[in-house]
Amino acid sequence: MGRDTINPRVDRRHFLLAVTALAGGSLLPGSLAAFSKSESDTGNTLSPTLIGDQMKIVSVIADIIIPETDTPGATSAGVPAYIDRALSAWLLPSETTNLLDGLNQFSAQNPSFLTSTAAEQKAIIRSLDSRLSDLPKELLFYRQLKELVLIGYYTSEPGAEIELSFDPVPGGYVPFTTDETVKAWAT
Amino acid sequence: MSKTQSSQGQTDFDVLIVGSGMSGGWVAKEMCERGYKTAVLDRGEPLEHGADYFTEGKAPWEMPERGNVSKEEALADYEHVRLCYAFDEYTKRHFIKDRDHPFAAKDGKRFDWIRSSKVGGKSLLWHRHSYRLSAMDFEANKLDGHGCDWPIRYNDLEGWYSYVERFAGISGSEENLPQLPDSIFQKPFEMNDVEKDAKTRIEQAFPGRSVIMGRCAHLTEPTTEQIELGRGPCQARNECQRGCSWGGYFSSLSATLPAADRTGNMTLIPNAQVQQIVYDESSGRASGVKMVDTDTKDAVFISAKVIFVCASTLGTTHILLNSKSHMFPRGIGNTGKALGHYLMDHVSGAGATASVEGYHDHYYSGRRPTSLYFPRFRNVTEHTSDFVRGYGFQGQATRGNWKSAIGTVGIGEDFKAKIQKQGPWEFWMTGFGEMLPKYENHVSLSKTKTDQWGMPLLEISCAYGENEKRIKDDMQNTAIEILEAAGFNDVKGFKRPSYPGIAIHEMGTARMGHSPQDSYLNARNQCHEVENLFVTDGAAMTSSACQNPSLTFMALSARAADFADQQLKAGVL
Repeated sequence: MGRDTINPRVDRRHFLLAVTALAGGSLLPGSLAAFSKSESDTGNTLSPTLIGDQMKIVSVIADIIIPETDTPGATSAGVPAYIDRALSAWLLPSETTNLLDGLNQFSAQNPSFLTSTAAEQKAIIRSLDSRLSDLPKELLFYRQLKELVLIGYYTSEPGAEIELSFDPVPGGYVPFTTDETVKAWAT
Repeated sequence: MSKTQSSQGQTDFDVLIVGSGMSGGWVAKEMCERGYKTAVLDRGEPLEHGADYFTEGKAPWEMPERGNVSKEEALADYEHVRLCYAFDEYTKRHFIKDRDHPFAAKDGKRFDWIRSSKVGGKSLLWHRHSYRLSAMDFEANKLDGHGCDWPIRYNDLEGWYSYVERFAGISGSEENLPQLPDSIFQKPFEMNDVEKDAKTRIEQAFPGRSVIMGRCAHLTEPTTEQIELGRGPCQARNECQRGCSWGGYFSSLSATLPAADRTGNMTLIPNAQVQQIVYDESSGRASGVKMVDTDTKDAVFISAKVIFVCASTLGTTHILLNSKSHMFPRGIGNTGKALGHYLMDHVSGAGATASVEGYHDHYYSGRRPTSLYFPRFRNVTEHTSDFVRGYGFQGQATRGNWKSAIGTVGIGEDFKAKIQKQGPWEFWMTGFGEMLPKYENHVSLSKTKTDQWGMPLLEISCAYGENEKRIKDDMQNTAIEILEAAGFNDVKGFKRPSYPGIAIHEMGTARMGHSPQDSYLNARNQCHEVENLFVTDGAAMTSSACQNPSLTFMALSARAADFADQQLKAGVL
């Protein structure tokens, strides 16, 4: 995938300098500090929640929902790792248990899922997905999983910056005339 | 800091302010600029403007949980705060941990008290809608008999509104509405085309109703004074509660405290839980405050000539009730029935949503930090016998994004391509209604429980009454009526259960009035019984009106500070 997106951190800094120059004010020490803050520690390691085939199944399902096209897919955007983290760091333990139980049941009912062809895998998920608002209890995990896939993808850097449009510092609110080629905002 | 004081001798400070938020910040600025040595005490931890806004500008992928707070942690530690619309992984550290700062629901009545954990208070966290109260708001109690008469009228506050607006910076449009007087404005944010057309259709269908751009404390045309204080124009990030290094929106941290600080007269003391205003019987005045350092738990006495309590509505009354003495066994200056009573919030949680057909060729850049506003029309231009007073709506039109795809059917390339496109337009509106002042909505001190610093817990007994319930019903029904008149589809009303507190517009419990019997404060926000004690935050409010109240707290604060200055200069205080 081609990545020529400018680092938004640099953009913001330049923008700030431009604004203060325009306004005739001196650069706020506080503002400068805001850009030199260290990155938050996003690399906290938690014990993995998805074990064995669970992680593989989640990855396959995530890529079926959001496949690689001319832009990155779910796995390239780190969605499985996000889901693994969200299961222990965001969801309630009961929600995590339900998801894992559902995943295990799914695995038991589809023992050859991981060795099936891509077309077969997609057909299984499409069938599940078509019943999204009407899933039986044992398949409800899919609804939760799909939500995590979407959150994980569209809040990732590729999901927000490449797939969608991301603008950390819009500078103002401006309505404009558009056409279908203009992508939706990520935030 | 001295451990002793004398009413005749030197005090530690000229002025002592409890609380550094919306109101305390204003008093600090006004008194420091007039040359008084001023102490500002805040229960919260220090928060340096800019440097301490650790999550400002962070992209979702730079946050460990992508902006979400662990649900288990939220339930365990943030029982009430988690219900605040602005509470997330980015802003969590700016909110108080409810578990560490307990209070008690009394009489089985739930109150969702949303509190700040930092210096700057809720001025860092507010939603920034800024509206004047009108002449009819200050007369309402007298006219319909609910609550005591305000001791001031709109004319008394008009000049002070202008004064604080020039400094704070309010964006908005001039509308000449008697129920919502215009402020001194910087230019308003823009409406998108869906909103413009909705405005036209709604105003045609209902000649007594207006749709205007929300008036908000965001700089769109910063003045020289604002730029000198290090503030700049709003960047339309709409991530305000993380903190804004630009000072694009008004907070005490971005505006009033820096103005106070540059005089050299301000001493800011964080981690200072003020527990009592100390009354000196020989002088008949408040001599200072007893505070506890929340880190060391050391108790300290600090003396001052004049004391302003601006610790947030319930924080203020909590301290006043706990300020017991031989002369005032029920709390300093509390000789009547008003202190602790007549608690109000706004009634919220009802409105409507709709989908909007068309406008596929319209979009917007930027995240507008305000919405439309529908000024009150009930019992202004359109009378009803169902309830007294009225409500206003906030609302806006936006296009759906990826979040709209959650819970919808679809997988694969087509699904992904659909999400990449701008979603359909949606419109929502939600009401904020006036709550009547009722004696039974009250707070008191626990006789048995204290917090970890020894302060008796606050007990809160507050519930919406029949008038508020009818207002809430009408907000839902009228929102449906309005969105149908706007020509939108799939109009759905909503009315969620909600409890007082969650509108985060708590007011009253130390109200202004005419005598110690009906109120705690006089027309100058001065305690009837203790002349050097002032309260200028939401506790002072005699009625709630339906407008977002912070601008009124600012104006009352600046006005009371000016009065205190005059009294000090005249040798009366």
